[in-house]
Amino acid sequence: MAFYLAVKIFISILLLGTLLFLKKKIYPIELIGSYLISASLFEILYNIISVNSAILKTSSAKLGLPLIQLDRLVVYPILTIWLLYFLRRQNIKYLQKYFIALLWSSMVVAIVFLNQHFEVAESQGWYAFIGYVEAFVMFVSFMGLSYIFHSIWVKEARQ
Amino acid sequence: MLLLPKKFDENEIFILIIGFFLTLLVLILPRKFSLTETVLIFLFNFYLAAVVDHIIAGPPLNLYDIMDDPKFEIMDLFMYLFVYTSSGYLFIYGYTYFSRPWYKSTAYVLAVALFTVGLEWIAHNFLVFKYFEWSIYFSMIAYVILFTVNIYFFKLVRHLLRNAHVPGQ
Repeated sequence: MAFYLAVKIFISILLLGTLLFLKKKIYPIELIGSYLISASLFEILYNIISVNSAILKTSSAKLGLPLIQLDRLVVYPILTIWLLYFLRRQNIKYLQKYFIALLWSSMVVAIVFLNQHFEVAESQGWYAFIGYVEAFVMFVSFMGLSYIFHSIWVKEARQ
Repeated sequence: MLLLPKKFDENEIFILIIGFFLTLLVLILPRKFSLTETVLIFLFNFYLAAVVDHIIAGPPLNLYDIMDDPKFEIMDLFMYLFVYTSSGYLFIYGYTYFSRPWYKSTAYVLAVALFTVGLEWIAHNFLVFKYFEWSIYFSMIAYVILFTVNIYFFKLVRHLLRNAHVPGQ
C-alpha cells in the first residue's frame, strides 16, 4: 500500500503540474470554480456510495484514507477539468468528444478497480456498471453546474 | 441514496431554523460582492464542509456524528447547502469591515470563531453533533483555520477577478 501511495503522490504532483498548462487555456477563476464543483461532487457521491449504500468500503488501514482523499481531492477533479477542456475545444469533433468522455469515465472506474487491487477499497456489491452510472451522474452534474458558473462569470465580466 | 431523518425532532428543527435565518440574512443584507464572488464563496464553503466533515466525521476516523445517523442524510446536505455556506458568506461580509489593520482582522477572526463555537455548543445540546473523540476545543482551532483559509480564498478570488481578461472581448 505504501508503494501505491508513493505512485499516487507522484501522479497527483504530475496532474497538479498540468494545471500550469491548463491555466493558459482556461481562465484561473474558472479553474477554481470547476475544481470546487468537481471535488465537492465526487466527495458527496462517494460518501453516498461508501457510507450509505456500503457497496464500496474504504480500508481501515492507516494509508487507506490518504489514498482515497488523494483520488477525491486531486486525481478525479483534475481529470474532470481536463475533460472540460477537451469538450470546450472547437477543433475537436463530436465523435472524438464522445470517446474522450468515455475514456474519462473508464479512468474513473479503473481507479476504483486499482484501489480494490491494492486493498484500499473493498467492494461489497460494487461492479463496473455501477461505476459507469456514477461517472454518468458526475458528468451530467458537473457539466450542468460548470455551465451555470461559466454563464454567470462571463455575463458579469462583460458588464 | 440520501437518507431521510430517522425521527423529525429537535436537531432537525434547530437546523431548519438556523438555515432559514442565515439564508434570510444573506438575502436581506445589501449586496457587497459580485455574483461570481458570491457563488465562489458559497462553493468554497460547501467544498470545505463536504471534505472536512467526510474526513473527520466519516470512517475510518469517525470523530463525531452529525444528526441522527452516521450515514449521509438529507439534513446533512441541507446543512452544507444553507448553514455552512451562508455562515462563510456572512463571515467574509463582516471581514470587509475589519480587513485592516492586521490586529483588527485577527481579533475579528478570533471573535467569530468564538461565536461559532458558542453556536456549535448550542447545536450539540440540540443533538446536531455527537462527539466521540472530538472536543469543542478542537472546534475552536478548526474554525480559526477555516476562517483564515476563507479570507485568503476571498483575497485570491478578488485578485483574479480584477486581473481577468473578459472572455470573448
